[in-house]
Amino acid sequence: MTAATPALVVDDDMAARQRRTRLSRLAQYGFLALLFAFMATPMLVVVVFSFDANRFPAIPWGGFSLKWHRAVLEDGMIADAFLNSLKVGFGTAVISTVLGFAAAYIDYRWRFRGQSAFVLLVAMPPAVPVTILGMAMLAFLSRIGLFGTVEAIMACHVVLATSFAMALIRLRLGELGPEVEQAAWNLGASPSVAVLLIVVPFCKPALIASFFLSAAVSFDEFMIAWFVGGVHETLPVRILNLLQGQVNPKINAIGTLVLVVSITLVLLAQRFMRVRTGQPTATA
Amino acid sequence: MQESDSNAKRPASSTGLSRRAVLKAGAAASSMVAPSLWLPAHAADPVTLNYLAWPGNADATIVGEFEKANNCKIRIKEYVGGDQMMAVVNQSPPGTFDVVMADAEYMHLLKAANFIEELNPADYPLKDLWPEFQKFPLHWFDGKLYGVMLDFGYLGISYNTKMFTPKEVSSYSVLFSEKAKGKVGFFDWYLPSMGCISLSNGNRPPFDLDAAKFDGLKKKMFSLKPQAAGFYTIADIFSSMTNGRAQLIPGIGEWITLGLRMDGVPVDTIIPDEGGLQYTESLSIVKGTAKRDLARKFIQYSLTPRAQVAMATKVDNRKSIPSIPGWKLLNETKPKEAEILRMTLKGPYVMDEYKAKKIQLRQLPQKQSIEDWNDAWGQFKAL
Amino acid sequence: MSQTAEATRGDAVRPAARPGRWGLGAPNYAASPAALPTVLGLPVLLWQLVFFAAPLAFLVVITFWQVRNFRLEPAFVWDNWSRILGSDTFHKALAHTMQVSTITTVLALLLAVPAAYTIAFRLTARQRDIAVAALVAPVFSSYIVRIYAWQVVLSPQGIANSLITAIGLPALPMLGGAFSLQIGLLTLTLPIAVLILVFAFSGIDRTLVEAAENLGCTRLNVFLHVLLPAIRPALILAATTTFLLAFGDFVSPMFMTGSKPPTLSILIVDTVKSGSQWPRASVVGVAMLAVLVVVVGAGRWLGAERRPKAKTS
Repeated sequence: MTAATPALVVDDDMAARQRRTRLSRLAQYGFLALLFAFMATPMLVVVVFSFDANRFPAIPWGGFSLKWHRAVLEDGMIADAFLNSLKVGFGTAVISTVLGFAAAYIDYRWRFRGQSAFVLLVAMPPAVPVTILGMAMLAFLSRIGLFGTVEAIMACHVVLATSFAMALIRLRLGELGPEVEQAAWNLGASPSVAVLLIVVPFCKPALIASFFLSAAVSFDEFMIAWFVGGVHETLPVRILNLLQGQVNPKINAIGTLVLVVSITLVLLAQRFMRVRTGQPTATA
Repeated sequence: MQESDSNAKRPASSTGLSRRAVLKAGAAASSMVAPSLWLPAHAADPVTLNYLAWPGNADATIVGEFEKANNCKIRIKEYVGGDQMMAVVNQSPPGTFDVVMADAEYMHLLKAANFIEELNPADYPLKDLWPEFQKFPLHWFDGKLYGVMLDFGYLGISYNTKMFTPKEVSSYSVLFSEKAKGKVGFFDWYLPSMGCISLSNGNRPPFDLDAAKFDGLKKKMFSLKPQAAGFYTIADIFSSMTNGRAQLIPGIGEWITLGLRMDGVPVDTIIPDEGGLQYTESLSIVKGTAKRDLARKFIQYSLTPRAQVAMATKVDNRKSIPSIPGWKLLNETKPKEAEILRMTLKGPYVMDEYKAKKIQLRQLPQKQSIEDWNDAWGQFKAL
Repeated sequence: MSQTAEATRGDAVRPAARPGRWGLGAPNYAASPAALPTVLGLPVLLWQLVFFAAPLAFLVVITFWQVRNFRLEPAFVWDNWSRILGSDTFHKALAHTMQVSTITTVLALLLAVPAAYTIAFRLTARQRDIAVAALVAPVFSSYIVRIYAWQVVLSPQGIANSLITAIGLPALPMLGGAFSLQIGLLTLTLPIAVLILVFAFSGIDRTLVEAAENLGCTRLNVFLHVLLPAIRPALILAATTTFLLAFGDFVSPMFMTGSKPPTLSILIVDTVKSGSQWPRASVVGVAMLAVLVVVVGAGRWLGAERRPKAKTS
């Protein structure tokens, strides 16, 4: 906690200050609680109403029912979409982690002409609105004949996810002093071996976090997948199409499923990257 | 030094790198294993029939029997609005789709895009249809048949029965009333919405307008902006009529309100005095399909009485069906539904409006381009 | 791209070549300076070029093409540009989108700063981890479905109004206007803004805070004059990220307000869906990018480190 000022104050003043502090603390915690309530409300509504027997989510509650969850499990299109999402997500996670590591390591180890341009090229995609990105990718890919495949979705998701992966891994690399690799070279390792045997294991938490984060990014991404996927839908695209095309009581059930998967992925990623406070440390 | 020279000549991929390369290749390979639609050597067991249609038309209740009987799988690509259909059509290489369900007024565009095949009238039970539909003009080009009617419906004003009486909504002018301010929803597709507003301006036929009448239509439409509640997707139409956000929506019909009403929501559709539109959904075989026989069988199946009844009683979007044996079967097996759908064989029924000439076929704009109408719609939304 | 890789950190020491110590082959230093970075960098570079840079460049190219019969054809016409840039619809959508995004940014910052402060300074480490997890989770959990859920809460007969009418007040029209739109956009942007600021606050050197307090600063003054300036780059980052996200969103405007009025992204989707007017949609897209570049550029200029003129006290 913070250091107290020298005790040259009268008791009354101190008590008043303590009261004020307690009030302001209460206000801060209360505000935080409200904020989290705000963020949790839609997720709660989704989960709760996925068990509503009503066709259209409305008040009053229509009674508890598992039928929508059952319907979701039996729906072929949703199953296909889910499978596509898994394929795309896994592929994206693997490739983005690899590419993100490559980009982060290059930025960390060397200084060269065009470095900031290179880093910008990798870091920029999330800054472009997905509608524009999706449209551009569709137009371009259909021109070169790659449109409408699951692979195309994955390739485009990698563009997005690599940015996050690079940022995460670069953060971790910032904690690796140059002397570690130099020691390895001194002991006779070639630079590539040093990378493989020293740097990669050092970055393991960041690599794993990038993996799950990239999977999560891909799993929830709907705009690019909608543009580029053609006949192949990923799960978010299925949801978007359901919301555009018909009423569907299954939406909340699907939403619950998606929430569970996304949250799991994110928590797994988070487990490996923690928030450290105070002084940023310089060594591993 | 000799050694370093020879090292210099060695390719960059020393053994240190090979592991990463293998990893990468493996990852790429595993992700490429996903079966792609473009692979012609598709293991056809079961065969997939690719269907381009409005949402919800590949439900198990409608196509399940066909899938089982023919050991195939119907894979649907959904679109909302004929323009979206045309976009998909023009972006997909031949062979992507086998069967297409199109709104009848788009058929000539499909034919012009060389997308659909000629059909043999003898293959299909056209005589089973109501006489008005047997030689449906939008399906025939140069005396050749290109599409078969699957279902139809009327579009007028859907309204909240608790807030508006049938008398109040008997004219499109109710949309402009003070009571409707901020409560008029719109289906976010220019064609039916502008068609109904055109009818309200007294234009018959509503899509064949000269420049002056088109200007008049735009003016009338823009004057509706203060009344608008929003421009909705289909799902939002359902939810906005359910939760009260919108109390009047022109340009839609029983395909929305019937399902809602049966679920207890107080809504109904009326064909106002100025008239209503008829939408027609038709099936065609796509050119370049490798499964022509299966596609033909699917269309034939869709016209059987059982399939027609399934289409009429689809859970959320109920349609009117053109097949007379279908009507008969409906009355035999689901008389209550037949009554609700107004497809009983005696008493007031769906064909009445048609016969009373209150219905105009929904068409594409005749004198202006689709773009002009679409732009007007975009302007209306942005007002 | 000419990439002259000068290995700055490692090349200072160049050991003599010996037989590979890990049995993986002799180290080939002569080859490595160019080989390793190229092998690492080339795939990334190519991937980004092919799947990111090229599509965007192509987008600009398309703005000059034409569409005939729903088919995209190469051409060189200014028609698309003049049509869109001169169209009322575009102007209105641009104005609306800018206004809405600005409001969201302001709201998000106002809400995120106190929240981040509380999380970074007033929670234990364990609580902080939970808080961060609770913030990160929504970022990747089906934004569309969450917006749809807000409809259930905010609709005229929804959850919120049921509570309100239950205590006797008249039902409020919450859905369909700016209020619900901001709720939707904040759902999208607030978690990220808070996260950025939490990381920033966490990285502040605590001794600075102690020093300020030792010098007699009240907590409020510490906050205003020490903490906020210290996280200025993060504030700018949070602001620009929020603005970017809100500017490009189309789900909230579509489902919360029924596209009334449409934002620029809705304009793009509409233009593409009906008649596949790719060139026109591309014009809107390029215009959006231009606006964003200006806004982000302004943000970075604002956030650029300025040498302090004089140090007082």
